[in-house]
This record gives sequence, C-alpha cells and structure tokens, in this order.
Amino acid sequence: MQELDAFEKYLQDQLKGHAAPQELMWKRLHDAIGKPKAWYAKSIVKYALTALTAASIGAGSTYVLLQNKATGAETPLVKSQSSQNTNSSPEKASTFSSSLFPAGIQNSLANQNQISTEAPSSTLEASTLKDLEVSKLEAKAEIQYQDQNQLKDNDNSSAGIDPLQQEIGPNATLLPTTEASLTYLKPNSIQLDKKTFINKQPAAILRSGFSIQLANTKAIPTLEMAPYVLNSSASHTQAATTQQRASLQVQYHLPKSWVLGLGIGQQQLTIAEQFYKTNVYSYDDKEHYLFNYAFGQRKISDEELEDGPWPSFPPNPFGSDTSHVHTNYQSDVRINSLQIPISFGYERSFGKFALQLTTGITLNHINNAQQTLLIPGYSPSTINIANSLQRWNLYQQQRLRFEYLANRHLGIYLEPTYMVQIKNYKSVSGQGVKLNQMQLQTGISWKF
Amino acid sequence: MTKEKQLYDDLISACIRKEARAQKELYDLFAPAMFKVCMRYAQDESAAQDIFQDAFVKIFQNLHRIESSAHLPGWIKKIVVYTAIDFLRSSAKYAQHQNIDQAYQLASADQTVFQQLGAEEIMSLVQKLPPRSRMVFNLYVMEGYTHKEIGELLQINEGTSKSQLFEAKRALQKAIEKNERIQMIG
Repeated sequence: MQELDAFEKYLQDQLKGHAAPQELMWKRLHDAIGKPKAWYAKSIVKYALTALTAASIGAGSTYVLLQNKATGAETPLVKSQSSQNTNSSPEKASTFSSSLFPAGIQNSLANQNQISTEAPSSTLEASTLKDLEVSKLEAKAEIQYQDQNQLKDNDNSSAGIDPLQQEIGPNATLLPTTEASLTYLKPNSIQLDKKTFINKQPAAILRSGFSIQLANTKAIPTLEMAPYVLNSSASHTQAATTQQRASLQVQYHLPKSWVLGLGIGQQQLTIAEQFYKTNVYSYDDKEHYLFNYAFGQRKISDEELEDGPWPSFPPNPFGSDTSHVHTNYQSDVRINSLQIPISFGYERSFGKFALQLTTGITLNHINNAQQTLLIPGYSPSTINIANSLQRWNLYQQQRLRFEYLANRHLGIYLEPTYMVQIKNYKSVSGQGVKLNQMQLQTGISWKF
Repeated sequence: MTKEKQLYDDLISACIRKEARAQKELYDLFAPAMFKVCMRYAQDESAAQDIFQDAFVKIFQNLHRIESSAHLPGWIKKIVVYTAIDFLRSSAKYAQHQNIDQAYQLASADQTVFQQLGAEEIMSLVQKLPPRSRMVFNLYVMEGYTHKEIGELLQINEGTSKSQLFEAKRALQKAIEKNERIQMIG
C-alpha cells in the first residue's frame, strides 16, 4: 500500500461510506437475474378464454339455427301439436281467436297480455336501426362541434401574437424583418400549430377503475317445452315474449384489460298458449276440469263453468267416473323476475372504439307469476302461481360489446347477447320450460 | 469456520440455485457500499446505476466461479471496479498526457480550504473529473492500487497514471478553492 498525502487521505475519508441505491434498482436487477417466467402462460389463458367464449357463442348460434331449421320456425312462435292436425300457423291462430272469442275478451286479451302474432324480429330491426343511426349522427355532430371549438380557441389564443415570437421566446431580439425571411419562416410555423392541434389524440380511455352502464334491451326469446299428449283432433301453439326494463350494470376494469361486471335488471316473460279442439277431463266427483298449461294443469270446477255456453258432452272414453269436454282455450302465464348478471371478460380499445367480450351467468329470481285462463264464453280467470314455481333459475350468457367512446368518461354501446337457460323455469311438480334469448342491448356507459 | 464465512457459503449456494430470497439478501448486504463505488467512478447517478446493474448481473451470473466464500466481499468489489472501468473505457475519450514530474511538484493543499466541503460536494467534484483521471484517482486513492498496477490495468504507462492523478488532484484543489471564494463572497 502506497503512502497517501494529507489531501489524498482527506479525500479518501470523505469518499468512503455507503450510498443506498434506489429500490427500483433491485427490481431491475431481479428481472435480469430471476428465474425465467413463463410469460406465455398468461397469453395462453387469455387466448383460451377468448376461444372458449367464441366457441360458446358459435355453438349457441348453430344450435339455434339448427333448431329453427328442424322446427321450420322463423319467429319465436314454436308449434307443437298432434300429428293429424295442420291448423297451427300463427295466422290461423289469429283467425281462430277472432272467430271464437267474443269481442270483449279479444280486447282484454290484447290490452292485458299484449299477445301479438306479428313477427317481433322485423319490429326489432326497424327500431334498433333507427336508434343506431340517431346515436351515430349525434356522436359525429358532437365531435365536429368540439373540434371546431378547439380550433377557434387555438386561433383566438394566438391572435395578436407573432408566431415567430412565440416560437423563439419573449426575450429574444427579432432582427429587422425582410420579405425573404417572412416567406421562409412564417407560414410553416402557423400551419404546424394547427396541424398539431387537430391531430391531438385523446388520452388512453381504457384504464383501471369503475364504470356504470344503463341499457335498454330488445330480446328475441326461443321457448322449449315438452309436447302435450292431446287427442287426435287437437292442436296447440305457444309463443313467448319478453319485456326488459332498463338495466343497470357496474363494471370494474382490472389492469391488463380484464373486466368484471355486476348488474341488475327486470324482465317480464309472457308465455301464451292456445289449445284448439282439445279434450279437457274431469276425474273427481266434484267435476274439476283440468286445463293443461306450461307449468301443470289449471283446475276449474263445473260450478264455475255452469252458466256459460259449455259444449255438449261427447261420449266419455274413460268410463262413467270421468267426464270430458271438447273445447278451445287459451293460457297466458306472466312471470316478473329480477335478473342479476355477473360477468367476466376482456376488452380492447381501437382509438375511439372499444370491443368487449364477456361471459358469465345471470341469476333470475321470480318475483311474481300469474296464470290467466281464457275459455270462450267465460270471463278470464287469473290465479297467482308464483308459489308453485321454483323461484331461482339460471342463464349462461355471452356478450360482445361495441362501444364508441365519446370522451374519457362517456361511451355509447351496442351489445348483442346470447343467453342460454341452464336452470329452467320449473314448477315444483317438475313441469317447465326452457327459454333461450338473443338480446340486443343499447346503452350508455360512464367511466369514473 | 467463522460465522461470516458460513453466511457467505449459504448465500452463495442459494444464489447459485437462483433462490430469490438469497439473491435479495446478498444484494442488501453489498449494494450500499458497491453503489457508492459506482458513484465515484461514474460521472452522474444515472451512469452509476448502469454500472451497478451490469456489475451485479455479472456477480450473480459468476458466483459459481468463486473459489472461497471468504473472498466474497473483495471479489464483489473487484467486479464492480472492473465493470466501472470497462464502462468508462467504452464511453470515455481520454487522451491526456502530462509531464510525470509535475505530478509530484503539486503543492500540498491547504487543509483549511477543503475542510469546508462536505462529502457530497467532494463526490460531485470527483464525478466532474475527466474519465481517465477519475479512474486513476479512484484506483490509487480509494482502492490502494500502485501506479504500476494501474498502468497494467488501464494499459497505460506508469508515468501517465501519475500524471492523471496529478491532474485529478489539481482539478479538485482548484474546484475546492473556487468553491471557497464563492462562499466567502456570499
């Protein structure tokens, strides 16, 4: 070790010691020396989930298509009837209703149950397209208006100040202006300012945090149920319609574009069934006639039917203990339920547009349910059947959202949804229906 | 076997197995002292971070080559110093020559002048030295290398090493005196 002079020793003493590196240094180092991470694992999960959801949507759509082909039905009206009868089209059902039911009952039917024989798909498309056009035009007009205002503001703020002076700073001395120097410098600097302003991109909009959505839904339901065992001359038609109230959803946008959602909404389902020339039997001593409907049999005593134009009794096929009548009737079931969709998905933004793919379940709780029986010549008879139904059922859902992001907070979206019922509407006795739904939601979202 | 050696043995074995806990422990043990070394060789903190990062990557990647765990602190410091020299060599343009004799004709500094300055100011002055002078100064004053060893390490002759040290000391002295004058005026 060599000898150090006093100055060197002093410097040595001063320069000894410790200096803690920043915490970030360890993270940087750990990334370089740590065990290699399976970086592709997350991607595999992400792509697998996307593929699974896409496959589910594809399978669901194919299933609906094949089923429609098999039944020949293009509308939600699904027919099931005995083999011999051919009088089962919606048009004929309408005619039947007009001819057999009195005018008073017709009106009450139309008002109370809103049973329509029109194809709902055409109504849906027209209104949806109108809504879409209006939304697009409004959004476009708003953007143009904002851009114009921004340009005006920019012009106003720079009015009266020499752009050259702006660029080189207030303290700089300007040389005497010559024509050549002005043509060389001035136009470019002004154009550059405007262009830069116009091309200003919005800040990244998809970020972690909560968002809230309010949506309106149009649905095309498809009803499935076990066929009835009817007499040879009988026929039966059924139709389901749903009315969706506005639904509210809260989403939490996780880092890396994942999203969790929880919502609440209300749905009214109406199942309308018409039975033509159907035998209705009475098995007990008090002659309670049993009318089939989706969730069981509706019992009506002959005392209730006494004063009406009840058809004459045909020969009894089941012996003297039973009696039966040959009649037409209609059953309307109206179910109001609360829906709670829980979803998980992935989202991507493309400039001002975003795409969101989610999957999940929807819990459906039946709040109330009523059944109305309509027999030609008699007043409608309504009973509450909520207690005879299983209250909770479940849908599986896939959603694909196309969203236009108007600004950092506000977005409008269109969301096709396919919902498959995995726990059916059932009565406690086990009879029930399965309802799949194609939905189209239009809504607005607000990101906090 | 001393307790310290046992600790180093355990740490080295665990780090070779790439156990994150042991890597962090080794890092925490040596990082503060080694970062100070990097600060002395670098011209600023950003460069010091780069040297520090490179040095520790080399340390962790070459731990299996260490012959005896007792040498671990010295081995680590050597890697840090060598990494700093490599870094400065690759980035610095140093071609300064000085008369050897001048190095030892430097008047001994007035201690009352430089005692006014704190460690941080001196570190800042060292960082402002030309890269080669800084390397020679650090190797000679802080690491205890001889001019011969410095010459071999930096591939310069012994005389150049002496002149670089002289340059470094003169520059530091001037800076200190200038600083003192500013303080007196203020």
